[in-house]
Amino acid sequence: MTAGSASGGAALPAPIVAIRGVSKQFANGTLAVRDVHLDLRRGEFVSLLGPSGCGKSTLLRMIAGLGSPSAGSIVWPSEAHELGFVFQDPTLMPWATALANVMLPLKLKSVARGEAEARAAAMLALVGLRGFEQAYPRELSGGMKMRVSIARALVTRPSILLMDEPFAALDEITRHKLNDDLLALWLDRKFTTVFVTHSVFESVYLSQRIVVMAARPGRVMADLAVEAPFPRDEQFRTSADYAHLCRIASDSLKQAIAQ
Amino acid sequence: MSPLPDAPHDGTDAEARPVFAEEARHLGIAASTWPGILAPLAIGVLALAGWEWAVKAYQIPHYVLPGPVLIGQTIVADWALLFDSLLWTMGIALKALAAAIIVGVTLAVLFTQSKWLEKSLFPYAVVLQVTPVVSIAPLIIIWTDNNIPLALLICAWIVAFFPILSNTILGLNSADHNLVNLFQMYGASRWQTLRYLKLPAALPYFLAGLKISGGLALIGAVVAEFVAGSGGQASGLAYRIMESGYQLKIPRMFAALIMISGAGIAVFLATSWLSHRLLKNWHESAVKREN
Repeated sequence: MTAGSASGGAALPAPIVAIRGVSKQFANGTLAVRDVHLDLRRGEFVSLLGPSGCGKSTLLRMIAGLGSPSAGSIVWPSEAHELGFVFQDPTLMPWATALANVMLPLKLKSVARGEAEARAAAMLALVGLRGFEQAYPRELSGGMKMRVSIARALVTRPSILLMDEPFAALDEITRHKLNDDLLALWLDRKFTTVFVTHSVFESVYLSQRIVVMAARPGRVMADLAVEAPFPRDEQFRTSADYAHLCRIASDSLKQAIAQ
Repeated sequence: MSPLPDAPHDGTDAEARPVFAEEARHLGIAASTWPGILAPLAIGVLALAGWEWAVKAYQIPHYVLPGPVLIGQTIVADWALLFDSLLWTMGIALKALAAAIIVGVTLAVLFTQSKWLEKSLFPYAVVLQVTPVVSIAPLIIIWTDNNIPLALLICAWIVAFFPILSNTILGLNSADHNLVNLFQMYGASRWQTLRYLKLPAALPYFLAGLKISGGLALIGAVVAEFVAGSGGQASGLAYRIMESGYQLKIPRMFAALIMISGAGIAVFLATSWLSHRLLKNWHESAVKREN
């Protein structure tokens, strides 16, 4: 794992989005994010790791276009970028079936009903929910609802997927399975992923790169590259490499919190 | 409920789905609903029997308190007259309820689209709500140029529309904040956000308001008819009550009273049924879980 230098380098692919000196101050005076510089490169899996209140969710929301920075700018070099967003809660419409929930983004973009239905059904199958198209959210378990939420985020074939602590409320067994399924989807489709988490283990398992943040004000403390090959599996989770990488990330997080 | 596939043991967490109570039904009504029907029914029968017994035992004259049997006989004997009056009163109440739904929902939607509109107009809706309908009914009768049906309709509407307005406003504002953000992210138009998010989210609240307004519309219609009094046309159930009072036909008075209560109960059951139908697939209020 190398620290600090991950945003330099000439051979790196072009950024899909560049965060340039972004700060965010709320109306009550709280400085949620201070002077963040970050290039997110096309196709990479980045985790924003930090304690509660370090502004990682605020930063993610600004990338999604929810709320603008108080200072600095978020630059998208290429004109068209499709976003997908997954919240900490599944955030499904309780009155709509799983299929209708996944169809929503397509419906809002006026995709023809037949095509939207086919794409949504295919996406549900891809997240392992074939046969549950007509189920209402209340009939599904927590993990299944999160799968529907992921399917909804991916149904528009986004170039960047933003995830805000998506698995924090799930049990560990379900979380591990969803981690693996998310990685498989990412390897298959190569969308850029920005994954907000406060779990060192989760960030190391999933990411190519970990951006460590500190709180009050929220700022970037370290930018770590996770040099471990994909695909990653249970073997990786129990390997000495993984333990070593977790120790580095954990130390970095401890330093960030101490400062 | 839609039939779902058996839980596949593939780690999708499908085994952890919630379990819903599956109930036996008798005559199409769920087993757990029956006590709620039978218990009040038994109390009612007991009370009526006690009433009839008291009237007989103490030889209470029927112009003071008629027994239930006599009231029943009166309902049968005067059915044509009473049923016409019932239809008239129900007609006013239902039209007022329809107007309350249209105006209440429309205003609620307009208010949530424009904070200024809400700030400027909502206080007047409150004024309408808190002014006793009895005190403005005479004015309304004058203003409508003695068009009694219209005056009654307006009175019943005034009483009925506020619960729908205030509940629907609450519902429209209580859509999940993250879902609102999601709609923003996908560039949804105002209309799309209203149609696909805010209106469905407001439905349970609207239906709760409708249940209250249904009963209020009937009460409003009856009260206004009382105020219109003998100046009004000889048509509604309230008029029958007054008329029977003047003529000391107390059993008919009770019969009319019972028909008003019956109509109120029917309106309540209809709105409850509608609410259950519309929410049974998704809303917590219509779901039974096994612990």
